[in-house]
Amino acid sequence: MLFSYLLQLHGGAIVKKGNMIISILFVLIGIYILIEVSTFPSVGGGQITGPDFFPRILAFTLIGLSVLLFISSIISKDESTTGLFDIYAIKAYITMIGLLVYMIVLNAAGFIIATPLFLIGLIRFYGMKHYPKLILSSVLVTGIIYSVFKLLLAVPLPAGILG
Amino acid sequence: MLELLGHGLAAVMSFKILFMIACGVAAGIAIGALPGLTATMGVALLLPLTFGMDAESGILLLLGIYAGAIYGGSISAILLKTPGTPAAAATALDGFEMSKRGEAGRALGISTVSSYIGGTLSVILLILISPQLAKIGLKFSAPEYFALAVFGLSIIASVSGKQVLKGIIAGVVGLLVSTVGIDIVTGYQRFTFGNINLFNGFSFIPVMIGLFALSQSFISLEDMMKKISIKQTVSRVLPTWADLKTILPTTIRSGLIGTFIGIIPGAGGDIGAFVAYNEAKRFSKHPEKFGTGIPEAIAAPESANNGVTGGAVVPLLTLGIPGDATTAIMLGALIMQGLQPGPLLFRDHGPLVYTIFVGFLVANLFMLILGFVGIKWFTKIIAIPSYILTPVIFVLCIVGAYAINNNFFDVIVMFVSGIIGYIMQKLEFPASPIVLALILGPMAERELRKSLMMSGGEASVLFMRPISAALLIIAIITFFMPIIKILIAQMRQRGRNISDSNNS
Amino acid sequence: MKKLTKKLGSIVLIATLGATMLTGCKKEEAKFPSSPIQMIVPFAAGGGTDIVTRAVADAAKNHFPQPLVIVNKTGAGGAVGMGEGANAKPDGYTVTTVCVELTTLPPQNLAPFTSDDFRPIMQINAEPAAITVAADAPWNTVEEFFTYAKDNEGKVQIGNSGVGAIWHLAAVAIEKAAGVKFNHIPYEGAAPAVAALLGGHIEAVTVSPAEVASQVAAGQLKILAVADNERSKSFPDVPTLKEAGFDVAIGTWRGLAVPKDTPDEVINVLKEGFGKAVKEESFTSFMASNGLSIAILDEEQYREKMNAENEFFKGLVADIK
Repeated sequence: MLFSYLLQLHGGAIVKKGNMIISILFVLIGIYILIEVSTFPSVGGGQITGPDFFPRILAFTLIGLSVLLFISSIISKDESTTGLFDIYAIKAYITMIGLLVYMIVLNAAGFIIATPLFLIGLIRFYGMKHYPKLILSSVLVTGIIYSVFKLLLAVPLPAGILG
Repeated sequence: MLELLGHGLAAVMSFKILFMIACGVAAGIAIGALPGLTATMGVALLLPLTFGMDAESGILLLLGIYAGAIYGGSISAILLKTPGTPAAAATALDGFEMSKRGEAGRALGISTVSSYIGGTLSVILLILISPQLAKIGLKFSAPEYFALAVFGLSIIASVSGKQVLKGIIAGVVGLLVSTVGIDIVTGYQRFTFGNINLFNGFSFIPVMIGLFALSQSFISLEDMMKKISIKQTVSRVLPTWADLKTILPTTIRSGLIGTFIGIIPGAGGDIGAFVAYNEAKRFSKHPEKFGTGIPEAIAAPESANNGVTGGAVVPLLTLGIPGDATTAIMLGALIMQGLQPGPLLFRDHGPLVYTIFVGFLVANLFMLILGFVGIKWFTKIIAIPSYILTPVIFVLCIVGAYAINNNFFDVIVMFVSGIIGYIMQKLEFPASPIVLALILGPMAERELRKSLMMSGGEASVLFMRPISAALLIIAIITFFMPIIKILIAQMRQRGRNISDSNNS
Repeated sequence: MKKLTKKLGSIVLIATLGATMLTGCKKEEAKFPSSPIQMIVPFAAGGGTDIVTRAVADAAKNHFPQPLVIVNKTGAGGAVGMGEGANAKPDGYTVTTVCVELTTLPPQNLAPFTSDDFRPIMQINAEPAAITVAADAPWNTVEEFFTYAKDNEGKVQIGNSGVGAIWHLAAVAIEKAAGVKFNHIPYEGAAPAVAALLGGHIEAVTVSPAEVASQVAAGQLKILAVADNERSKSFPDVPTLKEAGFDVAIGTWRGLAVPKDTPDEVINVLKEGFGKAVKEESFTSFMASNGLSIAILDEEQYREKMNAENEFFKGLVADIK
């Protein structure tokens, strides 16, 4: 509750501001690339065939276009919100964290263990409260995916310590 | 030839072969529809199964999977805005828009018919004039590949909808990302930070899965919270006569485009779909409607990507050189069966080749039938409550990303791409330009430098050769057209404002 | 109360599942092999290395009590798959198909391993580089070709399968031996290079005979010479470069290996099983019909070859920089 209040204070992120931030970010990336690229060797016989040519042109283009974007977003009268900090977006962010945890557990403990836990956790988080159905469907889905991929198609799934 | 065709027809009409084709198409549709599995992966995964079979069954199984998967990718593209295969990336643009209006059934019907027309057209061309078509493919050298790549990239402006500047920026960022890896011309490592997984650059499929499937799933979580759900009307499975009449010229043109792009070794369904989309927009009477969910915008990419399937088999069979990534794997299947593709294949194994031809036609037909039969079921899939469907999609994405190279790094790439894709959608940056850039960027750079290597530094070679000159000129026009149109519209608008304020 | 029971129930369920999986997965200290053997192929399905491995595995299935499961781990020109194979547990359950990249990648700093991280089982196949040109090209012998190349220093375009790849290195080695300078054009693999040759965009390629076999048989291309110590069995009319007076023998090879600390008892079982497999009729006829040569080397000979090539490529790689 406090969290959402704080978000609303922030005023949400409007597209215009977002554009400006992104353009600055791109300009910085462009500059970084130009610096990196200056360490690339230029193949003798004209720079065009060197590994530095393309990235350099692209970086310049990126910087140029980002400046354009920056200017156009200052002028623009667009007041729409991005929805990046909406209350609804919270679900997306928590899901991202959940995915990250799943990936870590997946790598460590393997598919058969990590997936049912992930599914149970996420489906419960999304609102389904009927535990038997919840656990059953999670285990069932894990089983189906496992059999189709590993047994039928012989796609190795992350194995971890156990299976 | 008619005699051989007759033999082929008779050979195909056996229960075993028909069953194989049907299984292949069905499996292909399923594989293509799953976000995370692609046509190439499907063929690669089921390749070992074919070793124990006889040649016709094995190859037709794989061709069935190929055709089915390329079509199947459109199912998840339309229903979930996540292309099941890269070739369906263009279909997601308008297909999902139609779905949002509750017309998913209509979109799927259009996709099915278009895939059938494109695929069948390409197989007919394959049967009739493959040797001649192959010769055209051979004419492509570095300048032509460069021009083709530039042409493909010029479409970025066109698929960006209203956000042209952001689309171009996204494209440039995509091109920069595509430079990561070992430079093919000099062997120098660019931006790899010593990570062995980046030696070949970012594997493009995990990025696509993340940008489209994962980010779309994140976005759909909001709908879940807002309790939004759309009722899909599947009143009729077959497209209406009106729709069919609308899409017919588009499908034929796009099918031809797809066939030709398939013939060019190394160019695949993804390029074909985007080029066809762009051409359909160019020839359309109402190009501004592209991106809002109109039939032609679905028919074009779907017809083209299935058109590529037949085209890609042309160089495979006539020259022993694969036309795209999937046929590259089928080459292995042919060799394991003891068949050496190339001109001698027609001479020594004529009946087999024609059995394959006829079987391929049948595969496209099965795809049409199974597609229609399945539409009602496909739309039921999105009726599954999204609190179960979305987590399952997450798992499939991760499994799919892992399955490409059995490498966990790809999963991380996909995850990061998903977050970036989510932010991009929020900030109204289009994602298709990145896909185009990742596929075509390396080709453009590499072929440009090779052209210069082969011409001794003379850049004029690009414009001296007819094919590359033509493609480059079309590319320049294609790229600047949307920009010019917007500028003209803005100037007209300003003109009107001025005259309005003068009058008032 | 009901909720608590449900929760307890699910915990018990998960615990039981976990325990069952634990007991099921424990490998027993039984005779090797007591569970399936994984074979890592560092290249894509359908490619040359993949096909050879599958053919061997297929011929070997009657000589091992456990199935051989093939896994493609592609990336970084073979470095990803071979890297994984080198770091696998040395218990014999992970066999890797190693190729010449094992000796060509480390000197280019493209691989986090060397051939010393492996213990070779046996070499199975070796393909020399073959100088191939269009069938209607004006050169019929390799001497004529080199004369032309000398007169057109740096103009003769030779396609290869990628910078630093074996066929590029082969072309460089041939350059040195013949005293000429080519213009090396990189392609995304052997197939596109062959396509470019067919299209008349380049003058020659230096890939393996197997990769041009069907075009040669169809009369579209001709092989001028092979870079080998003996003539190719599939192309007995083609002279070797040594016969023509140029001392260069270079090519790709494929074999099987396990991590370096694998115990002798285990490796002997593998040697025996695969040794019988390569003698099978099904295997030999398959390789012959695809123009793939069988070149068997045992562990010591293979090790010697790898060491020699490590030295050789170190020098060669320095030349292409």
